Amino acid sequence: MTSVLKIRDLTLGFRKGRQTAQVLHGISMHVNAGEKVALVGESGSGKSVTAQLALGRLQQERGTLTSGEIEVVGHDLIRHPEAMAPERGHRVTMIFQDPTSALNPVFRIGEIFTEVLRSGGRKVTAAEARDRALKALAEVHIPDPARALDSYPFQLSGGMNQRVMIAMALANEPELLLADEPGTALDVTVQAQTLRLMDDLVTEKGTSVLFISHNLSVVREFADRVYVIYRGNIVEHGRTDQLFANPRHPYTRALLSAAPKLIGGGLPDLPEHSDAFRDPLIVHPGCGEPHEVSA
Amino acid sequence: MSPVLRLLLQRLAISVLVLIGVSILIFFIARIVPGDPARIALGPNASQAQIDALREARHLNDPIVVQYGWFIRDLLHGDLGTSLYTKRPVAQDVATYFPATLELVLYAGAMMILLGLPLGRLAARFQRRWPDHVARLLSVIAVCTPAFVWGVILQLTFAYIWPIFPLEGRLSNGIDAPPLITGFYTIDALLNGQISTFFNAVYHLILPATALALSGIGQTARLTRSSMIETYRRPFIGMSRAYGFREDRISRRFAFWPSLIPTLTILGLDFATMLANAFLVERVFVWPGLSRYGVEVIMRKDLDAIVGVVLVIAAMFLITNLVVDLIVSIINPRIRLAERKAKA
Ligand SMILES: Nc1ncnc2c1ncn2[C@@H]1O[C@H](COP(=O)(O)OP(=O)(O)O)[C@@H](O)[C@H]1O
Ligand SMILES: [Mg+2]
Repeated sequence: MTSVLKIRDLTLGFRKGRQTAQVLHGISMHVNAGEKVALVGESGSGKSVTAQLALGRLQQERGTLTSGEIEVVGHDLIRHPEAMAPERGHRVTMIFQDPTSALNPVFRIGEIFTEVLRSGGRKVTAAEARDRALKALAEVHIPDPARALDSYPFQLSGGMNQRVMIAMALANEPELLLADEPGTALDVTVQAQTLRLMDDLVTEKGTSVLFISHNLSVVREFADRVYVIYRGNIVEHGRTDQLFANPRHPYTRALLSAAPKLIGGGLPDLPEHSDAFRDPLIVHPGCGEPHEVSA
Repeated sequence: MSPVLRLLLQRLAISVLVLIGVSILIFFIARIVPGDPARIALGPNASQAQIDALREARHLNDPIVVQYGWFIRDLLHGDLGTSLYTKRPVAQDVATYFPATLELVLYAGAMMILLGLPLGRLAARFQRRWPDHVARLLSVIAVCTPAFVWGVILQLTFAYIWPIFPLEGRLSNGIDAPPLITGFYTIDALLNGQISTFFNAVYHLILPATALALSGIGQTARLTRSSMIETYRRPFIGMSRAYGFREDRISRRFAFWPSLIPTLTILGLDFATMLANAFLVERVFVWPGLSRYGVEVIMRKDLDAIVGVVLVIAAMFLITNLVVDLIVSIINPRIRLAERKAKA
């Protein structure tokens, strides 16, 4: 089985003056081809930075310190993060929390879409770009794709913008889709609708997904495997059925027992943090990292 | 009616009100200031009878409110009154001197935009790296030094010590002004096919326009930089990068246009401020613009001329604002499409 995303003992620190704030403490994870993997944890636990590292962006910024390994669609992103430049928007794409703020307010959807299709220096004529964009928008069930292309993001509803975002994310047929809390800014029904749409499309196309989420019930419905992250450490890893049927790490248990009280299944703010949350990683049977299996 | 047109008409109506307000203000202020304009105009040797006659002819003995009534009546006939100093209609004087000032200011404005925007854009793109440091240093120096000081510095350096540019004036001696069409020597020369006159006019414009533009360039660069840095933090730029848009394209297009919207209004004001700064720069470069006329008529308490000059400058401010509003509404789709969205 090939992995489109492979992370091993990855650490990340931000240097501020003389001090370094350590954000990731040696996490390992992988996403196989065609697999949907969730990364769940409280806000600030290091989910978004993991996605930014997978895009090769964060390690190119000043003041970030990384160690370990991160390999995305075959590129070693610790040593050669610049190798991701032509892959972004093509082999690896991303969907965001709030589609409306992720789309440039002074450009038409069509102009942004064309840029997406041309990113990485690819030659696409205007007519070809429009054609492909129209097809992509039809695929996400936008009623009038031509009108959507001629609209500005603020003229469309949040749900429509999220469909546009999904269309852009899938238009170049990526191998890996990074979905960072997709649509959490939208209202619950619209969020559920667009997630289901995304789910259908990635399943149909066999796109791998790293699904970052706050929402346990969505994770349960959507993901094949789940990593639970707590303050920069992976604490539990298992197939979705295993993890929800038999949560073993104290942190996961605390999350799951608090969650049902919440409408929509959003991740609860745990009122108290117990020392047991720092217990070592628990891996469910059959779920290890690839390098451990082969070693 | 299109939203842009409606906005324009609204602003135009407001502008007319503002002009009326300014005219009242300056009309009364000019008259309250001590000194008898008739006595100044006729000189120390004039007899009391002559002075009285002039005062009578100019309605200066009427109550001030009645005088304003006369003024408005004339204004409605397109008559700004007559200068006591040049003895010519004020409108004609303004038409003579103002194009020189306007030409200078427009060239300076073009420099402000063409140099200030890219400088700010580059500073933002290379934030906290050397292009940023250089741009910021230059901007601060440019902003902190008044335009007339720049005028003196440039004149000393590039016209006196190292004489590559002319010291003063609009054209070299021996070159005739092109036939009057717009009053802008560069444009009139081109319209007449007088290429050498055109280059001579440009040659004379460079130093005063630069002096006038420098603080505007610095101000524009600083504003553009900070606005773009703010834009760079917005999620849609994160999206652009996640999707592999080239950093250069982001800087020129995707971060630039959203950043321009909030800065344009201030840039418009900076541009209009150059009209005021032009007065001193014109003095330095002996530029035959409105400034010399303006200063002269103020010293002489030349009532109609003062009001005329102030009104022209106020009108320029308002026109600038109007143009800026128009540009903003074209760049910002939220304004341009406001109505269409409401209907949809
Ligand atoms: N550019 C940065 N500089 C310094 N600290 C950062 C930066 N980006 C993220 N962090 C810190 O890293 C931690 C993880 O952030 P993030 O991955 O955004 O969390 P989340 O799991 O909510 O997505 C947070 O404590 C955050 O403050
Ligand atoms: Mg996050």
